[in-house]
Amino acid sequence: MDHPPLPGPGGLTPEVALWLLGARERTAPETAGFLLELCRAHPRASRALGTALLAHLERTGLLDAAAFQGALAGQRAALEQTPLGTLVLAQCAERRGDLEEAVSRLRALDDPALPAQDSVILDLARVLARAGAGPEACAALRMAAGRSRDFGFLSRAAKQLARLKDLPRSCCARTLRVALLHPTTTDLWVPLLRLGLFREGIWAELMVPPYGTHEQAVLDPASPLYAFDPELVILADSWRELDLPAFSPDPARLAAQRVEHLAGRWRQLRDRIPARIIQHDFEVPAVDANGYLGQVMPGGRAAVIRRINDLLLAEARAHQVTLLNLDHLAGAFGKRAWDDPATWFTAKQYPAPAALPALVDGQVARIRAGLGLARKVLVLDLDNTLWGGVIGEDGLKGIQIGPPSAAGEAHLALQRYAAQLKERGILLAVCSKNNEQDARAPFLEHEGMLLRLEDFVAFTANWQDKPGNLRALASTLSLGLDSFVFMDDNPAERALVRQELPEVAVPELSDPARFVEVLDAGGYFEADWLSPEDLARSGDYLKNGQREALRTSSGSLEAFLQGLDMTCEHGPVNDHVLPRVVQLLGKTNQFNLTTRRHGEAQIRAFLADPRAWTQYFRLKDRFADNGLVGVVIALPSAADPKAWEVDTWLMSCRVIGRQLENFMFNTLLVAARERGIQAVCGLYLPTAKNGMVADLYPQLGFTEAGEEAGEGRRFRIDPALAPAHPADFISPA
Amino acid sequence: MDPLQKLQAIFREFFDDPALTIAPETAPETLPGWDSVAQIQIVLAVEEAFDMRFTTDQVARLHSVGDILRILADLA
Repeated sequence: MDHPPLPGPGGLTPEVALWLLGARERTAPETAGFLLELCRAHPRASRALGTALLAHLERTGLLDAAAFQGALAGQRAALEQTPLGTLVLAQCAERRGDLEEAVSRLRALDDPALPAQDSVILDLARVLARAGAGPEACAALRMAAGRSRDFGFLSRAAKQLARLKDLPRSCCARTLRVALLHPTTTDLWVPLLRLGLFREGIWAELMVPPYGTHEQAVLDPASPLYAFDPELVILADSWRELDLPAFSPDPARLAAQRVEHLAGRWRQLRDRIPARIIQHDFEVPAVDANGYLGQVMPGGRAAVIRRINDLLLAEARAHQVTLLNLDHLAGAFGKRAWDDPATWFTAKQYPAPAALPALVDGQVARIRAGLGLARKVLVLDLDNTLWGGVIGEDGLKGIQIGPPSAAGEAHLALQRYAAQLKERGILLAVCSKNNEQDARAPFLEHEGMLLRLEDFVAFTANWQDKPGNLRALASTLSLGLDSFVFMDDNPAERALVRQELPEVAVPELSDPARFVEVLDAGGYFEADWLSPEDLARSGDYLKNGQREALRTSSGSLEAFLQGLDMTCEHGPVNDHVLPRVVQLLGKTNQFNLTTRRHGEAQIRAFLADPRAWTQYFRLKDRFADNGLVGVVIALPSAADPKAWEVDTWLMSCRVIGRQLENFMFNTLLVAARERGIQAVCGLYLPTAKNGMVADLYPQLGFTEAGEEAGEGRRFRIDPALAPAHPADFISPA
Repeated sequence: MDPLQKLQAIFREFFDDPALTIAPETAPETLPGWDSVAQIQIVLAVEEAFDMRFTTDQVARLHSVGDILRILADLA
């Protein structure tokens, strides 16, 4: 050894490593040998260290010297055995332009079994993009976007996303035109918002009026905002523009004035475009010259902002505007860090760059909820997730749930949080690698357990791979995998699920004490409003199980349907049912003939058209009120005023096989005849998920009427001649 | 690691160019992409890497790699 003993991993900073490397003259083979020792001394593929080593070799001219390259090639096999060595080899390969080798080495490093790596995933995405593997680069970026909440990391990912130009759009299930109206700088914010939506499979076309013109953009009918015709407008106002005095003599009037100004803008927007609106509420800033007095005196600035936020909430409900609770986001983040005076004074940046990921997560959660994309199922692992320890090895007495064990309390806190999710209609399921009997034992016999077996709509404990189990679970529940959140303490399981099922949300877990925090911060289950259907849902899915039992016991399908005592309430879509209709349009994949994701604004436009016909269907049975489960929208045909085009026909999978589709069809026929319609035209647009309705129209007696732009199939039927279809077991409510 | 090397690593990272070479003369005028938005992000990255904070006044007068190096040298 030609140097003092190497410091431990913590002490082996880039500075120390370089000092050691440069401390004495070495030949090329000696340098290569020393490089290997350094790589062995450091357990992680530290990018800072790898980059520093490479820069040193580059600067001393060694990197490109044949002697050193030869020596390095001799060390290859040994270097590969260490994460840092693999990273250095990858960096060398990228430098040489051997992108294929660089990709395979970086892929090897992106292994959850290795200790946490610094953003190797971003290197992987970059090299993939350079190698022309665009879709793989997109997949890596999507994964990266879900992994970190660090501003620097996410900004780099966002930059890479921008470099891929229009390619990521084709990896997204939908696009969304978003206008972001903010009084000051949005340059750091916009790329992160785009990345955050990309993570969720939404490609955002973003429009931001020039700095300082957000008020004019709304007021001026000729502004680029209206030409852009956004589907969503985010009004990201902030407390500084409220321009409140430290102390106000007439707080009630002041608050009402400020809120009226904002509501006036909503009305201006609504008059001109049918966009959905998200309005930020206002942070109560940490800094206040009046301190406590500002909070407790009615005229204090903090008190006035709270009053404004309260008024705003009521107004927003009345105007059907979604409020983004910025004061809560800022508080949860930590207000002193949320608003950084240095970046405010130098760059008019609000909130602080470090807070932007949290803000974007809040916005994305609201956007998802508005599109009906909120997740619905929490799938939980058991060992070291729902309790501490391994039931199969530690036994009932050995696992930790609740006090006095600190870890046990953390696991119990997760159970409590899950139970609260369940109460508001989120479904719970278990997916564990265990013997079924072992897995059930704590639920039945451990007195510390809060969750019971009946809290879960599905319980999977076996030794098969988890992606397969999750797929089976999705099909049992008739839900898409994109409604799942998967919690597992095991990084290898998480990685496998992320890789096999990218549509499942997989929060990154480490310390059990932080499980709840991580799950909560993800905002996966965020809804805009709680519907009675949501509250009843968990019970419904359980009752689905009971219905299945009836089905198998009652012999014939007729007897089963008869025994359900079904009633159906239906009518034109109205304000009351609109949120649920929009939710169904956004999320129904299987029984959906056209999969047109109309937003609230579009539906309102249909409602305003007297020639359009809309209908919602709500199904009740002996076991449960299934809630609003079906929607049909028929629009006048452009070509023929006496014809209807069925724009939308969808039904929730919960009620498939219950004759409700026949009931809906009969209702449509009756309405068509009443209005003197002579032809009802149906369109089937195939997607990856709606194969089950490919032949619905022919089965109902429609005749084929040709291809639609090479993609879909058209059908038509004369309502006067069409036969009604059996729906005898459903009576009108 | 000398500050220029360390800055170079930051710039390579930020501009996503593993072969980028910078010198004290490197400035927004000579480096494509070094705009006002990049400026904020570079400042943040330098602050993190060198565990220091620029004053508001210093940020306002940052016009080249050399300016950053001078501020870092004053700290040492």
